[in-house]
Amino acid sequence: MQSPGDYGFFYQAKIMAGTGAMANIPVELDGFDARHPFVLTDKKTSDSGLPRKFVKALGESNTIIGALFDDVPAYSSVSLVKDLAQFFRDRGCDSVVAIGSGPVVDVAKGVNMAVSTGADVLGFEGVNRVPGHLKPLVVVPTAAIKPFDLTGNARIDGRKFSSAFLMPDVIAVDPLMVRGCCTECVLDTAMVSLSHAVEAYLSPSANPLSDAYASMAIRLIAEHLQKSLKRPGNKAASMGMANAAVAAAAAFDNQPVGVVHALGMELSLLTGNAPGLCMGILLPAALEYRRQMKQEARSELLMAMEGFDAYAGTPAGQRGEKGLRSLQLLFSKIAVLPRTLEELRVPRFKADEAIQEALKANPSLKKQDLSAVMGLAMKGVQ
Amino acid sequence: MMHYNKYPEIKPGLKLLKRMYVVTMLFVFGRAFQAVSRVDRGAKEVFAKMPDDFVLDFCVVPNGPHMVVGKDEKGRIKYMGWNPAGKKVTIYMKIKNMDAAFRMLTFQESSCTATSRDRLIVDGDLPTACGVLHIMDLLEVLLLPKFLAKLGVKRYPKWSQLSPVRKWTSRLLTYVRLVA
Amino acid sequence: MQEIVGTSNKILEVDLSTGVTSIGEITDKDRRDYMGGKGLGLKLLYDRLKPGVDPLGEENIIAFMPGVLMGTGAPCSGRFEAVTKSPLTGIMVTASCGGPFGMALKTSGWDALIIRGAAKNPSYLFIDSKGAEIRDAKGVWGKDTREAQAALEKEGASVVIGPAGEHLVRYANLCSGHRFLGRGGMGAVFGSKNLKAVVARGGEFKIVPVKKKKFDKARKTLNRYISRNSITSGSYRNFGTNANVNLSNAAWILPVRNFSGGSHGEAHKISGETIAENYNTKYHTCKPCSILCGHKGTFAGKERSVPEYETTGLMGSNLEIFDPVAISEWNEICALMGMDTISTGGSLAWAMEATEKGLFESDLKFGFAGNISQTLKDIAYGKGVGKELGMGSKWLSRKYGGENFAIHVKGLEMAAYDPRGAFGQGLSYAVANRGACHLSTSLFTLEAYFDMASPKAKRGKATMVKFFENVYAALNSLHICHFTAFAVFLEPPLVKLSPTPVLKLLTQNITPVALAVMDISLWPELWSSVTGKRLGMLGFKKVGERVHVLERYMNTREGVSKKDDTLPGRMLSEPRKCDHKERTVPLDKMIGRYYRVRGYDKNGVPKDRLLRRLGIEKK
Repeated sequence: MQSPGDYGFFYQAKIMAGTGAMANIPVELDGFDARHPFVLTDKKTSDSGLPRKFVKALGESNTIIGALFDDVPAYSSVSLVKDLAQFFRDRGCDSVVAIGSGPVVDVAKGVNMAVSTGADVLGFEGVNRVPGHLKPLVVVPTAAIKPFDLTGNARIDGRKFSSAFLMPDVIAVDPLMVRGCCTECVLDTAMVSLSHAVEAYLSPSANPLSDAYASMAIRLIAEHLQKSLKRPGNKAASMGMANAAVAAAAAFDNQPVGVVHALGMELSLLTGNAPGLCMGILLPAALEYRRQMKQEARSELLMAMEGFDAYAGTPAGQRGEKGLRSLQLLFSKIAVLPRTLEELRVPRFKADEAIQEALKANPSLKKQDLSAVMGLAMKGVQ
Repeated sequence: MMHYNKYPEIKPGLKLLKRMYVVTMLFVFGRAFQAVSRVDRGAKEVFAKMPDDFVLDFCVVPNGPHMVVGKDEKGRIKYMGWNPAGKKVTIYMKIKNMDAAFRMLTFQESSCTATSRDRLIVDGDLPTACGVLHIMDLLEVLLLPKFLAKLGVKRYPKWSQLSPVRKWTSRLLTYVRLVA
Repeated sequence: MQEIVGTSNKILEVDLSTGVTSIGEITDKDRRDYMGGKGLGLKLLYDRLKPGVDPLGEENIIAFMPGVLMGTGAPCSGRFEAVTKSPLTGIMVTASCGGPFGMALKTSGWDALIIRGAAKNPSYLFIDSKGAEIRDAKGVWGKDTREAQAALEKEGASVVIGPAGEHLVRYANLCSGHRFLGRGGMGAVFGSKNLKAVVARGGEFKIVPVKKKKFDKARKTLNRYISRNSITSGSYRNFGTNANVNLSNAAWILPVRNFSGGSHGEAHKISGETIAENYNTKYHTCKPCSILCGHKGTFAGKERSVPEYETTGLMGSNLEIFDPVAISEWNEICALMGMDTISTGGSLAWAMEATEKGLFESDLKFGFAGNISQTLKDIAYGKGVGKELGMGSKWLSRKYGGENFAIHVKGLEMAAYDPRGAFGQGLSYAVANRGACHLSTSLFTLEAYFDMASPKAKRGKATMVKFFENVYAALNSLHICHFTAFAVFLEPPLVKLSPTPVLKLLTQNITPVALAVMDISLWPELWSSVTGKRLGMLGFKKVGERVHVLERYMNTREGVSKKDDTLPGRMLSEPRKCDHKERTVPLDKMIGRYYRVRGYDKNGVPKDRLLRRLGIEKK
């Protein structure tokens, strides 16, 4: 174990997980002196009946749902945020609840910025432009939740908003809500969570607290992924995956953006493939690249992947290597995951475009790293 | 423009059956508190350690049923009914929601598990609250048959901790006082 | 003059990088399986084009395919097809055009022209019966489409790009005569190859059908149908495609204000009827043609082409501008610059709405006509805000946001029919191979114009879309004008004599049966009489299916799958105020059924079994 260096760590959300987690939301809102939440979700979630479960869970409380808006489209847009902010004010709401993932959470963050400050959301684009604390934001994750939904980032109309104030105040991970609907959906979430966790773990600026979250996320995924893919509706496995997403979010939010995330997000935007698929192919490539560059792998990765017994049973010098191998073995066991970007039908010129875009969005990354990882991902790692 | 009418205000419904059950159970527990404090040696000890102005409001937030138990002027434990209004409550034990209360009072979760799972909020003195939980466990042991009580308590007391004589005497007397 | 009996089956392949020309042959099997035109062009590209190449790179290939009927004098057969990979969408694109180049290519003795590589300097390609020659285009580079064609007129009929193509505007088109290979940005492909024009000398061969008598009989029947049909010989002949404006307005499928409304009180001002009345219109058509839908008129003292319906819809009502003179001027600018008016209109509308919402900085405004001419030129020359507008609305919305109201599918801007008024058309837009293309099925005519299918029903739509996709793919492989479909579908006695409500009942409730008994034997008869090969109605439909599935399969090799078969967010989530019962397109419910009917898997990829049945070799 390396000695803890100098670092800062911030993750503010109150996390409630397990049976009846949603039923606690009124009490938590009460703590913020809020009793009139504005609930957002999308049609797909709404059709699967999850918001009904949410409303039911709020029974016997004095919370009145200002409105349950279940028409958030697949793209989060500024105009919708404006309309919803007006709606929010007209109904006299005092807090925002997002049921779902992706655009729902983004729109919820946008509405929260708009109603809390009364200003135009576009003015907050960029890093740390939100002036102060916002109204309480509760996120109720569904199976499709991605770690970056649970951080202080939002993407509305293609614009990036980043601020600690955007972080959800309460995250209620309820088994009623997180059961997966299909293998693709589970795989998508799992691969994003795993990429974030592994990147945070292997980041040069890793610190003990981000390690704790990241390794827990890796652990949970290693343990539950197979079962979850096989039976997406399984309660224990779904909860494992959802918890992993939350843990990965905490780790990810405290570490600089890594190659896999940067490339995966851009590729997904460019080609329309799920981000998880892209990252699931890029991550083994990035690990292979590390190996080629003779960068030492952290020995604790083995601990996270296989537990203490395997860790203790491996000579100190081989632990890092074995951890990586164990991670790669995990990938090779996932039958539904394409192995190469070519298999995913990503054309070379789109890949190059993704590298350019990723560099533009994250100037701290190095082009040669991105190109090398992308090159490995195109052809695949054996 | 939005069509506001499409998204009406929703007032989450009541859970009447659960509520009725919880109300009943709290009533029984309240009276049992009073009863056990008079008959059981162990309970007496615990209550004796509590401050003189001890008034407990055991409730489900935000507007669920209450159970108020406290010491009267003579220092005796008394069930003070379901309405905390006008009473000088020194310690609140709040169950966060009706579901949790139901789960706890149907012994699906022991009071300890519930506490560890973050379903209880205590406003007030912590040792006193622990005492209350202790009594509640005792009550469950006394009032319920073993197979049920086992689910509800952290550790079912052994013979050495609670002799059958004391258990059965207390159980009988508590029931008598509860009903009477 | 030499004669070609049937087809010459000769392919001319030119590599611009090396200057090497080669001559190949179309095999008998390919000819039977893919007929010609679009189908054969796709097959030739399927054999040659690797998946994943950059559309604007050297490796991209463009194929020109004159139709089988071209030069025989069959009605409405003066059309040729071009096939390439689109820089706008990144997938296959096919486009059809009625300009003189097709005839010249065909009568130079070539049944296919394939261009690959990229020239080092601006060049143009000269073609005659001997082969091709790459010539220096210094004199014509930079000229607009009309000047360039005039300069090359001596050498033959040409297909050229305007300044938009030279500046790689992603929706630049190819121009031949006054007709265009409109969609998908073929002009930019030319531009990326440093190719200004292709000129074919023509007039060296005469095309004669193999079975003259049978051909004459079919030709006469089709001519009779065309002259009898109320659309082909009535509204389209008199008013052009702009006759659709009033029909669309009444059926609530006219795009208004970037597709936020479906009807407008002032729409009559830009309708074909009004334009015909006020602007002294004359015929100005493809050759040969018996429908005569193209017109020109005198606008503000100048003779200009009358804008087609799509132009009127997307640069008129969709921008909330109802001034025919202004629209005709923009139409003219787009024509000279060589830009697709649909995509231009779509991108402008996006820019206007994005500007209104504060996402994009420009001085474009709905209803304001003052700066559009300048903006169009800026787009073509890649200046200022025009440089980005020239990338198309998908690119713009990805960069600036506003994906909800970027009205495109797979990157191709939507034509001027709002799918919220015709759900079948919505499905068709979503699954069409080249993007939001109205010519993939033109189901809106059935749903919104003729009332032969209920526009807001989901039932039967998957089958209808499949049927019309197959038929239109076959039509484009024939190659004959789409509008002959009005005559061929509506004029045979069975349809002609049945009352519309009965037809509607039948198409809506027993769709497969109703479509199967439609008599479309005229088209295969034309083809088989020209080539001398046997082809029946079933065979014709199967060719259509093969062509459509091949294109889909090629697109899936480029990464297209279910995720891309969708509609703009606005169509799926924003109901229009104008509808009595506000509804959005129930795409999810129709698309699964469509995949099943088509034989695709759940992800929208053609199953191996389907490919085997159609004889498409998997690559």
